Amino acid sequence: MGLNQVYRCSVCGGELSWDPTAQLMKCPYCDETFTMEQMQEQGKTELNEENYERGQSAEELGYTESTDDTAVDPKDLRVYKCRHCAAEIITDKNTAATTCVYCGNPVVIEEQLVNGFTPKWVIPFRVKQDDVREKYLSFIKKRFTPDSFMTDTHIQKIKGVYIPFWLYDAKVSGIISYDAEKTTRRTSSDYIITTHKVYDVDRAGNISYKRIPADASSKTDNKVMDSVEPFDYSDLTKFEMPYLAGYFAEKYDEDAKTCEERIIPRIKQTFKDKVEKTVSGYNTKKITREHINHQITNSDYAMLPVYLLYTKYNEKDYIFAMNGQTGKMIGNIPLDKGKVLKFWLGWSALLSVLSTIVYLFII
Amino acid sequence: MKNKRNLFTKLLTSFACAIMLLCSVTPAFAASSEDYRNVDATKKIYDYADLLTDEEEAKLKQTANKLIDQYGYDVFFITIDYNDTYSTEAFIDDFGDFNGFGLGNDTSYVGCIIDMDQRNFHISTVGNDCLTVYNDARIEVMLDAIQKNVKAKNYYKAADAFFDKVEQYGNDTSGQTESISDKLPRSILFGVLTGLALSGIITFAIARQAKTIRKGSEAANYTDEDLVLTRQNDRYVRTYETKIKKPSNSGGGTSTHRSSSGRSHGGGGRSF
Repeated sequence: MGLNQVYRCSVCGGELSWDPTAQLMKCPYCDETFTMEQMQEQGKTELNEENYERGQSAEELGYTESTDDTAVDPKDLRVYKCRHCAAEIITDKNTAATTCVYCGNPVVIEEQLVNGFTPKWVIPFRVKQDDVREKYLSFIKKRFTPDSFMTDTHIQKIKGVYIPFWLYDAKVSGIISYDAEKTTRRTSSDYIITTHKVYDVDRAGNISYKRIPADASSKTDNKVMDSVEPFDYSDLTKFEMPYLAGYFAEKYDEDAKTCEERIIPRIKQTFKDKVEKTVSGYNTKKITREHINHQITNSDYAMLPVYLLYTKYNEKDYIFAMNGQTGKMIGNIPLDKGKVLKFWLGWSALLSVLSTIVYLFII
Repeated sequence: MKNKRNLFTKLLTSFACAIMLLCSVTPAFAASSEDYRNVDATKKIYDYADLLTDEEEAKLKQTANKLIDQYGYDVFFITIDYNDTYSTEAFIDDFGDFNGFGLGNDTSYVGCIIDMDQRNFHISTVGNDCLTVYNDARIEVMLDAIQKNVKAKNYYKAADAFFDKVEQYGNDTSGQTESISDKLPRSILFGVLTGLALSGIITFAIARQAKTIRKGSEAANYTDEDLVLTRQNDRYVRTYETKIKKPSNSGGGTSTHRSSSGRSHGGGGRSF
């Protein structure tokens, strides 16, 4: 059983949502704020009062499009009823939080986050949605950005989304052998002679990791989610449903086993990097043998805050993302070929003249 | 009387024989370097091997004198067809030193010899003026120019090529083997290519900054405890040596040797 939940203000009955600045639940009508503890108390009573309504298959009801842009296959659409205006909310089967398209109120679909789908942790949003646009505009001001791209007119939508993540704890141990050389140089009258002292170097060690994130939604691009890292885990708090109010959220559709494949190369690489740093005092080193074991000791399900910006430019989609906690913005900005060419040729001209002078008079 | 006459005939015969013997020896004797001493140092062209026509000699002499006037050091060209005493190098060094060649404050000269006997040709330089101008790299370029013509048995052109290079290097102490105008087209080509490439690298680096979506490749942010080393062995195995030839520094120094006169000579030669 589950329900779609609206968190009501106990003062005026308005729909509460998460306020990133106050880091509290806030009523948009009377500005009353509530702590998570207060919400829990209130939630218990509301739960008993609300009528449950399971998400029905949209396909069976004849719907083909979602109401919140979670555009997917019609067979993946589910229909919920808004607790505020009774309108139908049609969304993806994995959506855990969305907004009612008719009354604009935040809706949390709790049934998505029960029975093994309850996140353990959440990092609440710290950046306000109103600030995203401005940060985005300063982010895209790069040397080769097309002038027509430097406005916000091509932004199609900005969504604050709680992305499902797995946070892994892991251990890596291993042994790496190197063929390392210390070299010294001397010169005779005709030759430069290099003396190579060859060493067999072995290093064995272990390292442990805590909370390496890997996004657990098949809908979000893994590379985009890797790029918004790192999150500051000092904000990591026990998950509560009301945090999702006012944002979009999805439950995971890739399990911990599937996603760990993505972090294994990363933890091994860091182990190798760190071991290699201990092989010092040599001029060259080459790995001759390596044996590295890993062990995933724990995985926790967490909701991490990300703003997604969908933009369209010259008929092409560009996605930008911002870490909703730290404000780190990422994305591939389109390049103005004309600007690139002009810059390249301009510098080529200058450097060609300089190089010609060097060739002519110095070399 | 008969006896007397007989004696006279005998004497005459032996004298004639001696003369004849002497004559047959003379060319060998005359051709040794000792006999090339006290030659007229103003001639500048000495074609003992008779490789040049009189007209060619006259033309070359004119060129040599022009160069001497222009640059202030001595210039000469010599061909020989018999040399059994010395190496070609020693021959030209002595020829220059003992015949009073050399002009300017350090009695500098540059000379070139074609030795048809030992089939070598050689350039010899003496004095500060010439040693600074004719460094090893330039000598190599001059030998290249002469070699082409010597191999083609065109000795006049070989001499001409020698004088040509003397004219080119003149008093230029930069050590460059080519003149600026010779180097210009190549320098522009390389310069433009280098400019395009360097600028390309800069442009690429800046363009790359516009892309910040990248796959995660490491996890250094998430180490709980730092690396604990449980084994750390550095075992010495062996030593070996590699050597590479020093790059010849074009435009660099001038290597010298001492000739029998005690003077420092530069230059170099090749066989043909």
